[in-house]
Amino acid sequence: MTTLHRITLHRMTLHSITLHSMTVRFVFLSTLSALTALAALAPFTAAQTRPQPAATHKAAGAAHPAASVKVSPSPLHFDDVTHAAGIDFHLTCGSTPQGKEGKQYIMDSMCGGVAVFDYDHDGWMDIFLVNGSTLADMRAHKCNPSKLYRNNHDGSFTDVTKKAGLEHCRWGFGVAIGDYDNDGWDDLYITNLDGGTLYRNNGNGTFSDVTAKAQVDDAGSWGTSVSFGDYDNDGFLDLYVTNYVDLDLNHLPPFGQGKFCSYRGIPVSCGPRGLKGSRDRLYHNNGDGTFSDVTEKLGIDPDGYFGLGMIWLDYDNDGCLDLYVADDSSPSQLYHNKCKDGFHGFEEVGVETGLAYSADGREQAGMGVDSADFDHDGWLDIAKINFSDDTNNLYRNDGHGGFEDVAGATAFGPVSAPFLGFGVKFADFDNDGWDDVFVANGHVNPQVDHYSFGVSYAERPLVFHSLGRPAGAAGGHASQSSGTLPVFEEVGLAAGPAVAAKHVARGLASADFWNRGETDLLMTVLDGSPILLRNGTLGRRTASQPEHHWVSIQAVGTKSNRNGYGARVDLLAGGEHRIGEIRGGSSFLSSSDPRLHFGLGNIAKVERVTIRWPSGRSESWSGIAADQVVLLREGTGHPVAATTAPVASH
Amino acid sequence: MPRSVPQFGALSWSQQLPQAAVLRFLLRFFSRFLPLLLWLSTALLPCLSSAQSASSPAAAALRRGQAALDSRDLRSAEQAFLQVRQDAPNRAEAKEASIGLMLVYLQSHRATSAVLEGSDAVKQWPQDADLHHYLGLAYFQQERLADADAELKRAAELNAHDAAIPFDLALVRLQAQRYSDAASSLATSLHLRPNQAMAHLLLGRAYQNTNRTEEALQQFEMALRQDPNIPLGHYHLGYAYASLGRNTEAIVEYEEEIAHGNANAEAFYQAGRCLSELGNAAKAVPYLRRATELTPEDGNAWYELGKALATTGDGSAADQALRKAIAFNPENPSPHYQLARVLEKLGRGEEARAERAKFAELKKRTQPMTGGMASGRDQ
Repeated sequence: MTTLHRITLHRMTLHSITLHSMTVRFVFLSTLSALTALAALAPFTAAQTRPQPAATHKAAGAAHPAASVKVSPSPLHFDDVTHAAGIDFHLTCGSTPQGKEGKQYIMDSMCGGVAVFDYDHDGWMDIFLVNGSTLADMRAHKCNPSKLYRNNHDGSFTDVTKKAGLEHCRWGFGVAIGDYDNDGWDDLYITNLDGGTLYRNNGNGTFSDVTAKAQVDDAGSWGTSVSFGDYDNDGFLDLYVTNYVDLDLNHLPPFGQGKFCSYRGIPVSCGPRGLKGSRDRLYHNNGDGTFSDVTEKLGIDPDGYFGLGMIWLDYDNDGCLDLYVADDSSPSQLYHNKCKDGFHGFEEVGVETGLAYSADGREQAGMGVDSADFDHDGWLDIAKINFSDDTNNLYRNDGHGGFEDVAGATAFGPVSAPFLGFGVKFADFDNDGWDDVFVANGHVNPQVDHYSFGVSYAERPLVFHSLGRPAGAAGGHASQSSGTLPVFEEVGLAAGPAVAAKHVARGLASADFWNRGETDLLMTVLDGSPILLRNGTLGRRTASQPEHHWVSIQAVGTKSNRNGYGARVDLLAGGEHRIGEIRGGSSFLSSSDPRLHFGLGNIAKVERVTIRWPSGRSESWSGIAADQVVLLREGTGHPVAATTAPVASH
Repeated sequence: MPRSVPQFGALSWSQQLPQAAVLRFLLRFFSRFLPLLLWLSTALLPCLSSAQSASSPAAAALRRGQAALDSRDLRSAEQAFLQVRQDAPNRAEAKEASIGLMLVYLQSHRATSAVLEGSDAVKQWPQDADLHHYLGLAYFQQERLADADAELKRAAELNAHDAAIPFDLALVRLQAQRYSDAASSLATSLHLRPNQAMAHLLLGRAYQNTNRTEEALQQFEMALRQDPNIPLGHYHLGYAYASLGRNTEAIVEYEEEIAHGNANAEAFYQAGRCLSELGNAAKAVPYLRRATELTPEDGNAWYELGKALATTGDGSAADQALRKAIAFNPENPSPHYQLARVLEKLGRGEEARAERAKFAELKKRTQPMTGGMASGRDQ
């Protein structure tokens, strides 16, 4: 019988399509990076350019790749306490995932903002969950209310939405927290499918819509992530609104039709490619309750890229907030703040610094972003989360104005290839002194569940436990080539049933909800209930394990913006310096506990905390006991000489 | 830029084909004619024409053709088969001669002649599955994939028990990038004749291209169980692992492929890429360097080597490798992007800016072709 085969294969040999040449001629629809070379030859297989007529359903019992991963005891643990805490929110977001055309349009998959803030100044973190809507509900003016939950200090929350006047009956997405008028009460900005809304905290448990007065309506744009930050250090919080796609709701692109409406050859909702991008907006706070749109003046997002995630951070340690925007299917952007001797505008340096593209110079589908000094070298690094078929980025700041993606070397990237991530948060979940990372995942196309390429609609979160710097590695400036970078271990499957389970997750915020020195998480889920994950890590440590300490810094600006956003904190404990930055907004569509949490390991006392405030003032506080939230008010410390150089780790 | 075809010492289809093809032809001949001869000799039927056939000039010519085909004397075989057709245009020998001629034409790459021969033959004997099968192969050789598909489908209808027919049909469909249909044909072939390592391997490929990676992985594993030394078996398995993000397992398979002596540039290249992705650039470098040695004109291999060298901190070597990548693939923006980064680190700012400018220029020309969302790499 083999004869005919050999005739055929022989013929194929003669025509350069033998089995081995097929190796390079056929393009696998895989998530593998190795595809580049193959695709260079035959860029698109039939499956990519048109749907396969007989695409079969996923084999029963087909294992998710994660299922084959050996599960070992996790050093981190989280418990789902959503219902016990009284959180009864349901996130509505466009069409349902069911059916052949489930999640019909692009906006149906992107909701899920969450904010954690202390709206009533009782010292406990409250929760605001942004709700979406549907086309039908929007047109019928039916309200799918967002919700504000007040922390009852006993592990439970109370829905105070109506009382607070925050039902917000629009198709909402992201949320930012900041005291824009420096009155001591945190205000709230929500991005919507059709413009933004600024709610002023009245200081009496209620909020007022001041959008029109403040002139921050985002011109009817579809906003996503949003955040306050004082880029010119004038003491008032400015506002950056990331905008995504310029949609005409009356002429939405039909599902699965056209070359930009497919994924791996599977018909899916269209975009963002093929649709018109929406330009981000930067609003400058005038200090009188109004803002000025400085987008054009400062050259922000001139190409109108598909913005999804953003973060204010001072990446070059010059005392001024720079801005990183994660764009979807377009280059991400890093705006360097030119602030020597005053604010002189931004320059976009994404390509030059290595943050615009993948290591191969390709656009990525950037979603959530967060920043921390994960390697303790005194420079802020960046995590960016991407689409499936790609790996997440961990950009290490080289201290010379550039970044290097060390996702592979730190074991942060490769495992993420089948996952489509949105929310991301750095936090030291076990207080061992090294930042871990939590990534909320969930695909945008429910259609993927009908195939078996290792990607599913609902996906489990990824939990990266930092193993710290390798034994024997010296401190200071680590590098990929020297093997001295901290390495992560992905422990999600063993971090508790709620974490091991699959969700279509979106927003993610971190907070110490119970003021006990452990960082908890709140993750939103598309078309479902959010998940409040109480950190149970420390409670599971045995008596023989050394106690892990912590300290949390609450910064209050006086000359600086009241939130202290942008304040650089340098903590000296156990002879080692650690840095952090005060901020609210990061991750995807979300805003987290603004208190800066440091795990201290077995160190029970902080020698010194130094803060460089946005105002330029630097001051320090000494002899701070561990295991407490410390409120540090600008102007109450010991003045120290201002410095813009980072403090070395050792 | 086309990638060059890897060199495989282990694959020798072309050497094995003629002998095997003739063997099959002989088997076919004897399987058909021996019963006839036996029937003639034992039943002693007074059918003169049939009785004559065994000893007729046509039968003798047919035997000569078989022998010539067996000895790879295609010219003599062709003459003998043509003689058969001339001597007995309407008898069973003529049909066999047509098949013989088609074999001759297929092996001598005369696809047009094979198609003409086959087309005439199927008109005369429309119910013969083998004729349709061979005609399908002739069309395949002409790159007339739709016609090949139709003939092979017809052959399969006429003979639903021959595993070879759906196998060949699958090859046609793979070539046509009709992966789902190819998978279906391969499944049929495997149903008829289980344990075909090659069929499992190809079915895995078809699955891989239809978003059924996990099933592809199973097929590759089955292929290796059937034939642990099947060329590219470990390579494919490695590829499936890597496409599921299981790079560590992928590297093991690529290394296994190389250890089996089936080493080819692709295995070295993929192993190097996986190692790079895992952040082990130092170990990736020798693999990628070997890939460039095996296929020195492969711009992608040079690119990956340059990238890995840059990660190890060897900027000068990276610079050289990336320039080779650009030389072989000048329209690819990626090497320019990477080179700009390397040059920046080497303190050659002006050159870095020039490379970034080139990168930006090429970027504008390479618009995304499909898919609504960028993945940072090819899907």
